[in-house]
Formats: sequence, C-alpha cells, structure tokens
Amino acid sequence: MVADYLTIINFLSAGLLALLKVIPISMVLSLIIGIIVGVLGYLQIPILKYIVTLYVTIMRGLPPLTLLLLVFFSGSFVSPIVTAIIVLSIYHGAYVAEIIRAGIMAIPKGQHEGADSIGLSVLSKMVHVIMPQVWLSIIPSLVGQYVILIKDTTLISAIGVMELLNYARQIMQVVYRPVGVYVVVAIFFFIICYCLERLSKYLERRIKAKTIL
Amino acid sequence: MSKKTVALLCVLALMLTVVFTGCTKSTSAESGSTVAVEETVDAMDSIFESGKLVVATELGTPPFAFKNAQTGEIEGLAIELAQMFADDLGVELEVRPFEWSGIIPSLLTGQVDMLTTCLTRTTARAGKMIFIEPFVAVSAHALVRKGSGLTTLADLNNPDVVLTTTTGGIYEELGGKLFPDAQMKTNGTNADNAVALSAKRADAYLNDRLQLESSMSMYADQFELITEPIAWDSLAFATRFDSPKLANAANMFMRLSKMSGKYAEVFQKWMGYAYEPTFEVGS
Amino acid sequence: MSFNLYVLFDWWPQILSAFGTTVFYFIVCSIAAVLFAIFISILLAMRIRGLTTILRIYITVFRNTPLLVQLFLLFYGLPFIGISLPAFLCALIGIMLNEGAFISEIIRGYIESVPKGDWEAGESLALSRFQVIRYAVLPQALRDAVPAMTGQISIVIKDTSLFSMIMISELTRVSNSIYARTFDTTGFLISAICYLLLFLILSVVSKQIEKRFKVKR
Repeated sequence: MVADYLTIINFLSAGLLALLKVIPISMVLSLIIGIIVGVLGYLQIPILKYIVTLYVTIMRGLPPLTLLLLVFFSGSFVSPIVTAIIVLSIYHGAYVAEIIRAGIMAIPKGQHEGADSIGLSVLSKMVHVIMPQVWLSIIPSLVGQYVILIKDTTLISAIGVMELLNYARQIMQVVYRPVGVYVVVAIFFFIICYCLERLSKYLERRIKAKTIL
Repeated sequence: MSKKTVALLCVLALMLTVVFTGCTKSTSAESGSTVAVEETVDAMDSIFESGKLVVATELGTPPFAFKNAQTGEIEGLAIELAQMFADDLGVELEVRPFEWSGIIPSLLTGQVDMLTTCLTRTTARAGKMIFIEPFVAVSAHALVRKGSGLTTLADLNNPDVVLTTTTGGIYEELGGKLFPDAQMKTNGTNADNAVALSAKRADAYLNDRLQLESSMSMYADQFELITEPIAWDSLAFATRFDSPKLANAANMFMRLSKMSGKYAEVFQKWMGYAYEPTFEVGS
Repeated sequence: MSFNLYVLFDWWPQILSAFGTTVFYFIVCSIAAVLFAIFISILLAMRIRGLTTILRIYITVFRNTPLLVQLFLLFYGLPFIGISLPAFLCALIGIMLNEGAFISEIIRGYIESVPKGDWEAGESLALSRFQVIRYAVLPQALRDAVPAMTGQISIVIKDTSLFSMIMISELTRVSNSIYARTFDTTGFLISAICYLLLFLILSVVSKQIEKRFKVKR
C-alpha cells in the first residue's frame, strides 16, 4: 500500500517537471500579452480596438481545450509542450488584458489629466504614471487568473504533453489505484493553488491598508 | 454603437477570418509540401550528425512500451528493438513519450525521427508515413463482461450496445464500420476503457489482444474475449516520407534481426512465448 | 488550418446532435450549479457551527483543484470503490460541485454586504434566522449577484468541453473523432464557432437579465 503510493509519487514527479516548464513561461507570456493588449484596449485606437475586442471575445467564449486541440492538430509544426505554452499564454493573455484594462480605467481621471498636462507622450504616461499604480490594484485578480491558468494545465494532457495527469493515467496500467492516483494529483494542485489564493488574499489586505493610508 | 452590433460584427469578422485563412492556408500548405520534399534533410543524415536517434512512443502499452514502475525506465519489445537498431547504426537512442493522440503528429511535425509504438498499419495511414516491416502481429478482439449475453460479433451490431476503444486509435473507425448500428465511445487509456467496461458504461471494448489481456488482468474474472477476431493488426515502426534512407535502414534491420534469430530472443523475452513467423510478420 | 465544407456536409447529423448535447448539458449543469450554490450559501449564512467549517473546506478544496481531475475521480475513480455513476450524472455532479463552490463564494460575498440593519430589522420582527435569510437577505444578495453569476455561468459552457474526456459525445468529442477519421481540423473550427455562438447568445441574454434585475438606488 505505502509502496504503491511511493511508486505513484515517484512516477508523477516526472510530470511535475513538465509543469514547472509550462507554468512559469505561460505566466510571463500571458502577462506580456495582457499588458500590450490591455493598454491597446484602453487607448481605443480606431480599427485596432475592434481587433482587441474580437480577440478578447473569442478567448472568453472558446473552451481552452478546443483551442488546444485546434492549434495542435492544425499541424502547427511545434512540439505539444510549445503548443501548450503558446495556447495557454494567448488564452490567459486575453483575461489578463481585461484585468489590466479595468485596472487602468480605475485610476482616477486626474492622474491621466495630470500626465497629459505636463506634456508626457502616451507611452511614457503609461509606463511612468499609470502602470505603476495599476499593479497595486490588479495583483489580487492577476493571481486569481494565474490559479485558473495552473488548473488549466491539466488540459494539456489531451494533446499529449507528458504532464502530471498524463503520467497519472499511465501509471494506472501498473499500479491500479484510480482513486489514490487522482487524489495525489488533486493534492498537488491544491497545494499550489491554495498557497496562491492565500497570497492573493494577503496582498489584497495589504493593498487595502495601503490605499486607506 | 450598441453592444449587440459589436457582438454581431465580431461573429462576422471571425467567420470571414476563418474563410480567408482557409483559402490562403490550404494553397500555401500545398506549395509548402512540395518545397519540403526538395529542401528537407533525410532524418538518417541528421541522426548521424547528432549521434542520436529520437523516437516517439506511448507508454501505456505493455509489453511493447511501458515505464517500469520500479526502475522508472522505459522498456518493452518495441523499445528494445529500437535500441538494437540504434546500436546497429552506432548512435544513441532517445525515447520521447507521448499520449496516443499526439503520436502521429509528433512524427509528422518532425519532433521525432521514428515512431516505435503500437502503430497499426492501415492503408489510410500509409498515405501519411512510411511503414517499416511490422515488428509483431496481433489479433484484435472485442472484450465483454462475463454473462453479458454478447457471445458473437454479430451480437455487437445493435443500437443498444455501447462500444468503447482508445481515443484516436484505429478501432474507432473500424468499429464504426464493422458495427454501424452500435454506439461508439472512446476513453483515453486502456485502464480507463477497462473501468468503462466494468462499470457497465460500455458493453464491449475493442482493442488488440495484448491490451485486452492487460485489461482482463486488472479485473480478474470479470471479462471475456469474443474469440472471433474483429481484425488482424500488424504493428510497425514508421518514418516520414522525407526520410527514405532511414526507412530503408530500418527495414533492413528488421529483416536481418529476424534472420539472425536475435528477434526471436527479444520476442520470447517480452511476449513470454516463442516467436513463430506468421504470414503477416514474415520469416 | 483550413475550413473544408465537406466536413460539414458529411458530418452535420453528428455535429448537430453534439451541439444539442452541449447545449443540454450546459443548461442542466448551470441550473444545478446555481441551485446548489444557493443552497450552500443559505447553509453558510445559517452559521451552524461545524457545518460552516465543513462547507468552507469543501469550497476551498473544489476551488483549488482542477475540474478535469475532479471529473476523472468521479468517472474513473468511483467505480473502483463500487460506485459507478453514468456519464451524465458524473458530469452533472462534477459541475455542480465545482461551479457550485465558485458561485456560492460569489453569493456569500453579496450576502455579507447586505446592510446589518436589514438583518436586525428581520430579527426584530421575530423571524427565525432562516426566515430572515429567505425573505430579507437572500433576495437582495441574489439580485446583486446576477452580473457576477452570469459571468461564472458562461464558464460552464467552456467546462462542457471537458465532458469529451468522460465518454460524452459533445462538440469537442465529435470534432476529435472527425479528426481521427479524416485528419481534418475543420471539425474543431466548427465546434469553436458553435461555442462562440453560444457564448454570444448567453452574453446577450445575461445583459437582458442584468437589466431586469438592476435596482436603482
């Protein structure tokens, strides 16, 4: 019994490695996409704003699993793990963009006007005045989105990335304990996501305290 | 502009992009493939250059390819043959595991040089890749629950019967053809299919005999085979059309190892019974 | 990636029935999830010692583990300990527990933001705690929660795609089997368009619902 679980954990650890590649890279890429698209969405540049809306709407309406399968089987000529990273980044990038756009909108008008009045360009206004303030308010929702991203990594098993869930399904052939194996996988995700959730709650409190001061 | 109009515009734009990408991409793909034949390097040359033969396999298929739970090593008949082939070429072997649905794309997209997994030769697949001489032939059957009343293949072709098989495998299509009246479902792995059969979510599980035997061992005394095979399955390695040199070498290896008796040794080791040449696998 | 119309011509019966399945599962699952969430949030608001702790643990666990793992546990795990539910029930229970946890968290937030005076007013009328919740607090909280809830429900559409992995022939499964037989990804494009259509319809409908439930204060 104990030996079985040691085998399971030993076996699953290989899947962890794949996740350690996918999760941080997707987080960073989706943040980059999110900042660019979010700022563009806020600026409301004529034609571009429709493209941004289109992108965000599609990503909000499409199941990540369908997107993964579509991109993967379309012969994208990249490995499953690269496909997974790209799709997860593009998908969550749209949500991050919405979070950032909302964050910018929440900045008091006076800040924008102040920056404009001293003759800052749009870019430097964003970089030096607006964005530093945005970070503070969006961190809780950003962390929330990352929790969803981490949970979505289970979907990449469907395109053959050898991650945790896939290893779990493989080891079922040897150690036939479906309940135990899936519970171990669930515990792993729980630990990561729960810590992040706590972190976001903590940051939320800190930020509230700061803004009141 | 109201939200509704925006939404409508979005749908319209999406459909347009889909249609346009459809038109442009399909033409570029056609021209792309002809270019690819002229420009790409035979995998054989790159194998010698890098000193590494990269193969793809699915792990959940004992005794052909599976991860040894004790040692963590990937082993099996297909893996050992691949290792022998790599040794013959004088290069290292790198085995990359994929889930079944990712296996064929991994070869076609150039991530690996060769597939060394339980790949069934089919006419349709032969249009996608070069098959090497088969490394084993097994029969495919339908597995049913004991006492379910399903005893012949004819019993399966019934609207009340739910068939299951592995997602992305050949039996999904074959099952649909052989039993057009039955309902066809799929599950991700062999173990999942065994659960489906045991939990009465499916009435018959279609797969090759070895997979089915391993399902039977998971649920002792619950299942039985319908003895009449639904198909004969010859499993073979495969390479891409851009690599005829590699295909040629692999074919030669397969033939020579069968002649030298090395193949019979490995076969006995993994399959547990002596190798007898069949019309499918050859002498 | 290309859009080949022949897929639509050859497979439209399967695609249509898969679309129906997706819509059916979406409607049934989201209703179940909302009802279950309301039930949970009433229980939470009752502040019954012990029960509250259990519910908090349930919500935390289901919010922080992937839905796919939960579904696999229900579908492939439970038969191992002697409970084998049909795919439909697994899907329903999976979504109910998972989305229920998210939606009840939303409702809880709005219940907590109902002014203290309303609670006290109810109590001064000698209503029981349940009656206060049922007649005074919950209606307000639910009305305020509508926009957030419809947002969460739109996620249920996407969740239905996971059912493809537990033997349910919905859109994603059918497009996957079209690919398995034809090596053509048009099926995925068709299902993507279907999902977007559903999403857009839902957003229009939820705008209407939000408008109806909006209170002028």
